Amino acid sequence: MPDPLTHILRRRFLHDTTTGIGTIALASLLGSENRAVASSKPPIDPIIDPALPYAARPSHFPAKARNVLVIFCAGAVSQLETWDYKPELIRQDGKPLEGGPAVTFQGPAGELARPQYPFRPRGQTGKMVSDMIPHLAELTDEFAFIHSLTSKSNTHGPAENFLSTGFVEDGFPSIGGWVSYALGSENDNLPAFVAIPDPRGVPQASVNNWGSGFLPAEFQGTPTSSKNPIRHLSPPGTVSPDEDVAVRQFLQRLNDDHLRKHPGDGKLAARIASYELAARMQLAVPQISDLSTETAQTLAMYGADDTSNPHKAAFAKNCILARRLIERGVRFVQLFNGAYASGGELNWDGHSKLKEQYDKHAAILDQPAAALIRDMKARGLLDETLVVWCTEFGRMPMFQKGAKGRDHNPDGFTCWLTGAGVKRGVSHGVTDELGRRAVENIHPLYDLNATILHLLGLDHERLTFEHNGVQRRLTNVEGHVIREVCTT
Amino acid sequence: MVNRIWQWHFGIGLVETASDFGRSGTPPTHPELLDWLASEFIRGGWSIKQMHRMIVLCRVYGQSCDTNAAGLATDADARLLWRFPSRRLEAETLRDSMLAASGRLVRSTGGPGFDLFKSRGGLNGFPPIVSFAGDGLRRMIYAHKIRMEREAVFGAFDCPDAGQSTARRRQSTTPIQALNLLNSQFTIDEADALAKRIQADAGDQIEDQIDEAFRRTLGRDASHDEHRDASAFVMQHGLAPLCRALFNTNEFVFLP
Repeated sequence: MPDPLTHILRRRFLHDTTTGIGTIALASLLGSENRAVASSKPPIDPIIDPALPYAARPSHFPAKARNVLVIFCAGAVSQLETWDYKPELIRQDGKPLEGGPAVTFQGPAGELARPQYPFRPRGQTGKMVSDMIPHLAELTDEFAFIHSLTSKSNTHGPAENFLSTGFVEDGFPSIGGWVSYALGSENDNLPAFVAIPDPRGVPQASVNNWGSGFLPAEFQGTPTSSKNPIRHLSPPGTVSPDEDVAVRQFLQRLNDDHLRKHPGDGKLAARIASYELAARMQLAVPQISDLSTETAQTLAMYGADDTSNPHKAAFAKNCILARRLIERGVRFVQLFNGAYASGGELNWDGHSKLKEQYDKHAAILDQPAAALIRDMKARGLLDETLVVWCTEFGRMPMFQKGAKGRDHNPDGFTCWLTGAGVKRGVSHGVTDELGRRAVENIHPLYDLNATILHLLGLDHERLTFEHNGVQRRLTNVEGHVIREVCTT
Repeated sequence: MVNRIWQWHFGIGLVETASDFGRSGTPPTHPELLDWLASEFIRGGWSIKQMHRMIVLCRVYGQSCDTNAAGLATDADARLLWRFPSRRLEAETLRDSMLAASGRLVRSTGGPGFDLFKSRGGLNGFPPIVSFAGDGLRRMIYAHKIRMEREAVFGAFDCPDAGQSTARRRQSTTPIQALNLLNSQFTIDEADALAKRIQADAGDQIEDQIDEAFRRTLGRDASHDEHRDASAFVMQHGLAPLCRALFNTNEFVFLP
């Protein structure tokens, strides 16, 4: 729930100022605005050439990572079936949770339920990881786990907003938007920020996850996937290539004449430049999407050739696409695994038959995602790329009453990082012995976002954009870099 | 209020942050003018119509958008209004203008909105409608707005996602806008419709057709050189591709 004092409605506020509560609300409003406007540090505004909005721009301080790959598992992956081993939960299987809630997000709570997969020690660290994801589990030594994340919402849409934008409400810029606003891109022929939706559909908060909110529209993520390429990349088939070229040449000539009549108008020049970038994108994007240049061995490693599981094969192709975008210097790639709320059928929302559904989802995620990380490592891409595996919240240690699945739990869940600037084989933060809530080194998702910006050489308190009278930040007025997972 | 009205005419208000005056906003560029307009607004009985009339009849509104070196050097954004600041059409205006040029704009007012997407609800995204007919050719202000989902072609032109209030739209320039306006079926459809309309109205002479195409899209005749180039282009590729190019020109997309 949003803090009632800081989320007061204007009309209500005007009414309340005549009564006692008004003065308290006023103090709170001014307080939060003061903090937002006069952050202790002055903002650093990126200098953006309107004709080259995606040109690379300097970071605030030397960066550990040059680009970011986010693997976003929509629907809330259970920490208890994956990375957060809770032997006590095995012992208390079937017992009620002492002092636990009678009702959770979706309805009455049932009894504690043991992890639905066996765990075993992995790698040098010996960290216990679930058999649900055998391929990813083999990479345990590569990861820095944060087990103590919390969200401000227990509902998928707002919680995805919170993870991607730092706000539960709609309309705020996504982290990829902030990053491309700050840093531009290393590639002149591609957008700075690309979102790759899952083959089964878009996540619950959909475009909010890659929107630009109130940032200029240049910085919104461009959605594309192996299944749905960038819209309008080429004209409809009724237009012949010759004609298309001629139209563009004629257009260029008209625009050049027009600009000569209005010398020095940056907006006109910028729009001409945007057609040039569009033309380069038209050439570059099909090359990237064309996976026929990948070896059979690579396709097999990712599982892209798995004809028995079309969803897995399609997700594997998305993983290869993600690697190719990163290879070509795209600043921020957001790769989704899992679609919208669908009773857990199309994403990780395992309310009723968790094991059955997770068997299917894990088969789609595991091999392709693990292959992606191995492949990136083998190609040296992890030296400069930060990889973030995340989900919007976790799940309860109890099953729901009368069901074999877990309800939403925003009070303690796991994400991990690997790649540039990240410590290997560390686990940070702890949930209680049943995995109900974070108890040690608790980190609201603000801290994860602050850490991602930090690794990119950006101070989350100084990356701001003025909107409706407030210097807005990805981390609102919160956020602490989780230094324990960063290399020094 | 007067600042918002001013903003609609000039693209930016005398106070840039239209919903925030004072400490949280930016200071006015012309404080005396703002005060004067406000008092005139009150004196005129709070008539929005009179305020519009006063603004559009004033000399600063009637300026050309011509540039000069001195102005560009000191005030490139024309915040001080040494010229009329050039403005890109807003998303809705752009779509409406293409339909108006092609003659397909449906001017009916009121009533339920038309759909930009094949579904109004549901969960698996919103598949866009690609070719429009009937009510779908009404002004875009009558489109049913799906919160957070931007229209597939024109949404990229800084259409707010309606998740947060937007006091003023930013004007960004993106390659996605270029791709949408060049390659969408909407553009192809309207270019075809415009070409057919011109052929019906202007007859068979290519010269006449070219003038008609320029008039309908840019509000002027083609220059001598443009005539020469456009004739060669139309003879080789036809009239519809010329219309497609004209819809994409800066001259069509920008005011004035």
